[in-house]
Amino acid sequence: MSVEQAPAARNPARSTHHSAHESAVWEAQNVSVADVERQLQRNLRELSTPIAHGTAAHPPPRASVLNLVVHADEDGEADRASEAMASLAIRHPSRTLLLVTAPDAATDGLDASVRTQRARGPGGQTQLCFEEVRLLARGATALHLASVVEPLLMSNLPTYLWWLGRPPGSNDPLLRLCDRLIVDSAEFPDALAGLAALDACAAGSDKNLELGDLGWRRIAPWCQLIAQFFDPPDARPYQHRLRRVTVEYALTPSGVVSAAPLLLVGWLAARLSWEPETVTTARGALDSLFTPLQPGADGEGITVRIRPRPSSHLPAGALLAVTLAAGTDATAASFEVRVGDDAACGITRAVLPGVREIERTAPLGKARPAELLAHELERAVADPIYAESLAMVGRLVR
Amino acid sequence: MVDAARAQAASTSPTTASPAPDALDAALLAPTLHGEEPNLLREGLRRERTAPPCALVIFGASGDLTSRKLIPALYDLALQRLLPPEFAVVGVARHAYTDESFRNMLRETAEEYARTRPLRPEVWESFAAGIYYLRGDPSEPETYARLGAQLDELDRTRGTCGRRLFYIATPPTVFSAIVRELGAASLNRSEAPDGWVRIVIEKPFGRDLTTARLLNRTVQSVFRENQIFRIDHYLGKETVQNIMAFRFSNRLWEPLWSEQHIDHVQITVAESIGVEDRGGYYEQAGALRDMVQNHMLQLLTMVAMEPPVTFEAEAVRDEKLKVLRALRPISPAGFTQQVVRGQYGEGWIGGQHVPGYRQEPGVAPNSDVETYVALKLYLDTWRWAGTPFYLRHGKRLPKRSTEIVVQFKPAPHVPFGGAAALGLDPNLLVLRVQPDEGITLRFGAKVPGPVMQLRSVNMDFYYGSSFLVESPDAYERLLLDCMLGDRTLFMRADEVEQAWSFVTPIFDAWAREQPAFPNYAAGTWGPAAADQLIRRDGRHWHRP
Repeated sequence: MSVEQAPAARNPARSTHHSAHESAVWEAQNVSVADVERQLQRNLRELSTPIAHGTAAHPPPRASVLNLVVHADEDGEADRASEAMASLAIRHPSRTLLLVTAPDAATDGLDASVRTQRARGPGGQTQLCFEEVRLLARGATALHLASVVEPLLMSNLPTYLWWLGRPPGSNDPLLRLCDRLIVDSAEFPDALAGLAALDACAAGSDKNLELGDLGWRRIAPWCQLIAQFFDPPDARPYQHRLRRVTVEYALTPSGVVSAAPLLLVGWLAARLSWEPETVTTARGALDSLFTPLQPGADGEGITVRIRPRPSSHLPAGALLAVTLAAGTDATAASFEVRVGDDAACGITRAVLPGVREIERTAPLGKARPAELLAHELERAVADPIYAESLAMVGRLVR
Repeated sequence: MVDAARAQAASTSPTTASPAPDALDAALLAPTLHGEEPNLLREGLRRERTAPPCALVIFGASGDLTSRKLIPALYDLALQRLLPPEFAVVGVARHAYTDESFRNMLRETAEEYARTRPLRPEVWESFAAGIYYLRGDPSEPETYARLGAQLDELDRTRGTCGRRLFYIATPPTVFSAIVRELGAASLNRSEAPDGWVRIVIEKPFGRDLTTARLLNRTVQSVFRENQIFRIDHYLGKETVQNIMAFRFSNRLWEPLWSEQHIDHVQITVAESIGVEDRGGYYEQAGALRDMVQNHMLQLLTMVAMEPPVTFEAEAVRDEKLKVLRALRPISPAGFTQQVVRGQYGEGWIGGQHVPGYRQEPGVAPNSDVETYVALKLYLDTWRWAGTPFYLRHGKRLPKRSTEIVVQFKPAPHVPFGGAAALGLDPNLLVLRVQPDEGITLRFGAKVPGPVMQLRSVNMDFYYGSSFLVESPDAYERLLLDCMLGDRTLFMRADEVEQAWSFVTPIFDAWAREQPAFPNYAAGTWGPAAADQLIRRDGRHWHRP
């Protein structure tokens, strides 16, 4: 994908780093929202004039699908988000508002930068155009973000809010503006509390707030591989006879349990109608006893253990292995997914005694936030399975 | 003729008359419906459309289709975790491969043809461990005895559950023998409680109506119609499916989609390449067989069909069949007004000199095979009465482009008078299939200024600009459909026969006359007669 040489910005306030994809950049301090709106229109008009040596006689198409609002509490977060956005923008032409809040700043006000980009699609002829608005809200302005965001949203498009770091409070005004809240549960400092707060956030919203979680997308391949264990008809009965589930994850620096193993257990329990009986947590480990309620289950309890393990080649909190043991003694079957030597691959192994043993290697999917976010943005409706899994995690806390 | 086809359809297509016991597998829910109990963990993941455990048997496994299309597509499915661990492939051919050398050969080609490259060694190794090779003569019963034994063994060791998908990737000549032998060895049905057997047939489905019928009878004497998957990879293309999405998920177009508002429709499949190294094949086929009878008539059905009740196989295919049945036969009297054929001579494409068709390798120096066809068709239906459909396809045209142009009738009254409307062309809707898949809508707008001056403007939409995901290869989609038992994007026997019954008289008429070939230069938009065909009606071909 190559980028057209840009019309120069009319009043670049100061020089900035230009990435390879940038075309029109405008930056200013202490601006009003109206200034930003005007600048967006100006950039668009300039991009609509025919390219000097190209053949396009009309403006680059803006096939807009959604508004993306990104909320960051600190510069470090904002830079990470911006980086993710840079690779995403090329693939996803929507208006992005990146909000950085500094409520403790000495002065109130808004600093803004606007980038309007034009790029060619892989086919060569496709011209795309998209905008990124970065806003630093200082002082009291940071407490009234909804009033900043609303005028800058494109009308009649769904608005997704990507909230970095810990989850928002359940009555944050930005939640009222958006149709979907996207978080990355792997970033929650305390996953158990964070997931419970997120569940409360969805339950407490007056409209149907959809939830997206990059952490959920990260474990989706695990769920997919585990589900596949029970596709052969002769393996299906085992899902009613599970006895022990062990989930191992990469030890976190804080020593508390991470979100990935909790969501995985939440998913299993919600799908298989397991009722939590007891829960104990200590030093990053979690032990829980479940009673199966699904029809066809044999009524025996299921012991679930979540255990941390040091890992040198995987990020803290990531899943390392999931083992399901079913049945007893002579008919005991086991199903396991574990990270392979190549951390991007999982090795699955199903042992059905007297029937067969099957092992294979499958990719565990992409883990970069930009890719996970791209997947999340592709989904027109939020995943109801996530909401149910999250609710199950919420019940483990209560 | 129509009645005969209908009777044929009723007698050979059990699913249309009364649902067969396993008609349920047309639903997308295959993984949950096959077993006695559902896989509870699959809920919500169902949209991923994961293939159920099964074995794929490829006849003609040493050929290009296997190594360039099927195996790379399967590998890409494995990469997306859409293949179950139990999945197995058995390649059957005469060539002296071992399991090991067969896998090595496939790996080399997959390195080149897989959508996602480079290959990931661990994933490939794991996928390839389920690939086996069976050396055998497809016309020998003994091959099938060994095949049956191997499949039973795979059921036991890998858990393929008595589910077999036979993929016939051989030249058409061996085709009937394979089908017969599969039947003789009782491999056309599964004994397992959750088992199934399906057969995938590649084009060409015959070379005229007679041979197509013969082929259908042969296959249907061994397999029921709902076991048969006739693959037209064109239908697996995202872009082609988008035509249906565009028409049937929007309220906006359907009220306008008839002779009342549409002046005419043009379907163009232009290729800039010649016959490449396929001269020998093309000499037997020609443009009408190679592209028009199958792909272009399928595009026509998608543009012209009535809205199906559901997007399930029989509902969609019933509607497509109705379009083919409504094609007005081309009368001998109108033949020259409605059909034009052409063959390219030498010329220039993209600044390069290229030889004429008769100079291509594998082509007879006096060949009468057409490399260009233009057709003017009518559909005798309430919706389309009087609306011409212009189809054209050719090789060595100036650029590669597949598109459907829907030209609307002019506004009934333009109130701006005189010179104001001079710059105004009729409304146009262009569905671009490739390259740069998208939609263009042309409408009139006022030129800014103190006078009322109108001009046509184009509004472009590109699919690639709205969606992030890379489109899967057509074979990925279609192989997954076969394994899930979804026949929506496959052709039914009656569709194939109906298409042939429309096209066959054109061959007959051509056979009676010696064409003056070559009649267009490579790098031009086809013979002059094709321009006349549409100009006669006061219209012109749109430039893609």
